[in-house]
Amino acid sequence: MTVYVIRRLLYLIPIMIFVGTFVFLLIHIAPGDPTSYLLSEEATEIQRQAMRERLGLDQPMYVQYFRWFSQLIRGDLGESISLRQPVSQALIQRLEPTFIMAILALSIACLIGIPGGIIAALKHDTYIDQILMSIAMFGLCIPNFWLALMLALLFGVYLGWVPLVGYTPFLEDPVQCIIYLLIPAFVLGFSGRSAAISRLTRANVLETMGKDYIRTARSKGLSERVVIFKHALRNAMLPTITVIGASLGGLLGGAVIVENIFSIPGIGQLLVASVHRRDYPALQGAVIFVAAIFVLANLAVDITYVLIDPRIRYD
Amino acid sequence: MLINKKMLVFFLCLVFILVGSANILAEEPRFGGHLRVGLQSESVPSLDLHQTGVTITYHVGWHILETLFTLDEEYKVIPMLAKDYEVSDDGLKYTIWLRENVKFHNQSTMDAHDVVASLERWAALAGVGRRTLENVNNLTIENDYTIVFELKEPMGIFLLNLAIPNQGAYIYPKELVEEFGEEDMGDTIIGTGPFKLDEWIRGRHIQVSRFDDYSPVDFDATGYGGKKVAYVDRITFLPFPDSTVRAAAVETGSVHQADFAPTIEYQRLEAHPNVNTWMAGPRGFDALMVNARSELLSDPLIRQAILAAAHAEEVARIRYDDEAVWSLSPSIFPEGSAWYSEAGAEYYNQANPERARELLEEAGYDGTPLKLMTSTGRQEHGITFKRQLEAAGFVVEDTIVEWATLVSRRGDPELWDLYTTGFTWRADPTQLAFLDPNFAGWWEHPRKEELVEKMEIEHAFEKRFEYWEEIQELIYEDVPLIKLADYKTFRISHVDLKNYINMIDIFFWNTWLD
Repeated sequence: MTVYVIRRLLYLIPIMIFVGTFVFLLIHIAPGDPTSYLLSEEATEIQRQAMRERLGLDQPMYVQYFRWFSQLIRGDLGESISLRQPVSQALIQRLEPTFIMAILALSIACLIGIPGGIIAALKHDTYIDQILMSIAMFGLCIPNFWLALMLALLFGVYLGWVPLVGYTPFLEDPVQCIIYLLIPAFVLGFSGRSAAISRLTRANVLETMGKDYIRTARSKGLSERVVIFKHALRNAMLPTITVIGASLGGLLGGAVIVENIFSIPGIGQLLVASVHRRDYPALQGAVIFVAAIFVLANLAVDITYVLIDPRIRYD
Repeated sequence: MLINKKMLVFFLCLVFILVGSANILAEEPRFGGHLRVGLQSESVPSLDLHQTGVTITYHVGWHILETLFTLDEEYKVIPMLAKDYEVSDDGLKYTIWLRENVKFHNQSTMDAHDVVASLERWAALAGVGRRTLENVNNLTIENDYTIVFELKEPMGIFLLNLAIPNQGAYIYPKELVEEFGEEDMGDTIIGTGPFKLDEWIRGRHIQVSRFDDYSPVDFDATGYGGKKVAYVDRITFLPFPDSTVRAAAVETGSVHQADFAPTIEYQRLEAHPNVNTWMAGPRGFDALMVNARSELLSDPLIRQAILAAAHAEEVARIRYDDEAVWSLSPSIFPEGSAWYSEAGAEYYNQANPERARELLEEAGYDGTPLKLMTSTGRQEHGITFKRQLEAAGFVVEDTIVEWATLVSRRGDPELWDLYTTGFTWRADPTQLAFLDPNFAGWWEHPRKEELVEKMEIEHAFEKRFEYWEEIQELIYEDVPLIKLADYKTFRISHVDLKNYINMIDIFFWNTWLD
């Protein structure tokens, strides 16, 4: 197990180099450069060229690449052009809101999705099943930017229950921090995530309930509660856990949209802004960072398998 | 019964008096409070105002930093850190006396050494600074509070250049200039402004607070200058990139002011009890830049044909949601400005495809595609204008790219014939970007060059206006660009924000919270 984990962690290195290089090429091939953000609309080409020289953007691409790469292998992500601070520092600053929002969103998705799926399976083909699956379908189809704006209008403007946008750091005021993130996290968790989880849970529970060992358990005279929670669910949850793990990636993707709407200073907002401003170092750093989270989340899922299903071993 | 009626009248009078006096009281300036401002971008590129002219940078930064001169409510030059000035009769010598006992936020006192160090840095970093100081033969410090500029040639816009806010001649302490040189000062910004920088967390907020030792000038507030008072204790600038959310934040009182509110919601916001709406400007005008280096457009008849086909009104109707936001005018400078002129008006907003066809025929247009480049932010322009050109017989090849791509592509004359853009209104015609032959479009015309030079030298307004009218006429005859509608900035503030002065640029000294 330990060897397996170490090996998986070592895989991170080539993945990050590959992702970094790919993003480097992609953003450098895209036309435009940071001067369109740093200088006003009306700046002349001469002013832009002077700025490029100051930023070292007049160098050939391979020179810029090797400069960036040599920094990267020393663990230095470089300095953001638009924020004028080290990229690693910018990422750490923006990690907190995104991380808390992702955890909240996943919790909301599980809290809605898993019980919903189980109830729908146990009451399958009844109107309860149909209502629950309709809600799931609604969550799956609804675009998260639309839901975000609607909920912001409802709870922020009309009802005035929650502050509309912004963020308070967790350590400054944990309650306020959660209040700020509740609606964005609900949007992320509900639209797409909870729906996928509940549909999958329903399908797996249904399938498991038809298995021989469930009949055996029942025939042993076990109570229905024990049959469902101890025998059926534990076996049915494995695919759901894969989905929850993979959801983290989707959540970071959704964070890009939701963070911009709710003005949350997280990784998603940094990504979008860096693309618009052609802030090469910040974008490369952020994508490498997200890739690392992806890999680590998948590793965590694989480790969880062992805990849930003792038959799985990585030795 | 009668007594009751009398009592009722008395009571009503009392209520009116009380309400009235409460209103009067509310209009009295009040110190204290925390003002929150919604910014349209999620981050500010820099607060070091020598570095960049991006509007959002000085909308925040000029609460902290100040210039020697600034603009009054009519956009005329008035002293700020300067006490007074004198120009020699030949226009070659400017003596500027500085105000004494003006404190920087680090408690040092501003003097001529700080000013000269800052101006030299400004000349090294800002285009307008370079052009200004290039014309200075000698810059001498006569004593701690007097500096003298000896110019190579007279320069009518000399003081104006020292007064403009965008990438302007902001004054920093000399030690700071020496420490940073041409590097960005980050959040070590120290100035003489009514507010000092407290905290700048990139992407989250910028916070400034009242500078207790601020020394205001001794004349009444006017425009961007005069007596500045920091009534509020603190101002926090918060990013709200989404315009709908920005507007909702003002409605709910989460922030007190926001720029670039969604024009589609103009009617609703205007009727909202918590919101005051403002139209600022015209802030500038939409335009199509013409490529002077394009082979196709080297023929003036074809350029005139494009101008004849342009229907500015249609473009504006399609682009803007509410008529309150735009207006039509042939003048490059908006109505009410000293530079307003109707020279060349007959060429504006012609919407005459027949005339365009005739001109094309005369030019022998062979159907070479006209390359029209549009940014995603101005798609409506591109699409509408394409249709107008096609109706006149042009073959149009259009590309829609996002802004950064457009900026990079417009540098290459091979890639485009026309592109959509906008120009912000400037205090003086000589500052208009497209008059510079280096600006993408590359308009060169001997008479224009001569007139611009004359304008730069001349002091007398009448003469300068005469030159400007001729330049505007040339703009319509030679067609370096096609002017479309003037646009305004729709901004909103919460009713609690008092004494808000609606100029082109936003500022929050002299405003208070109820």
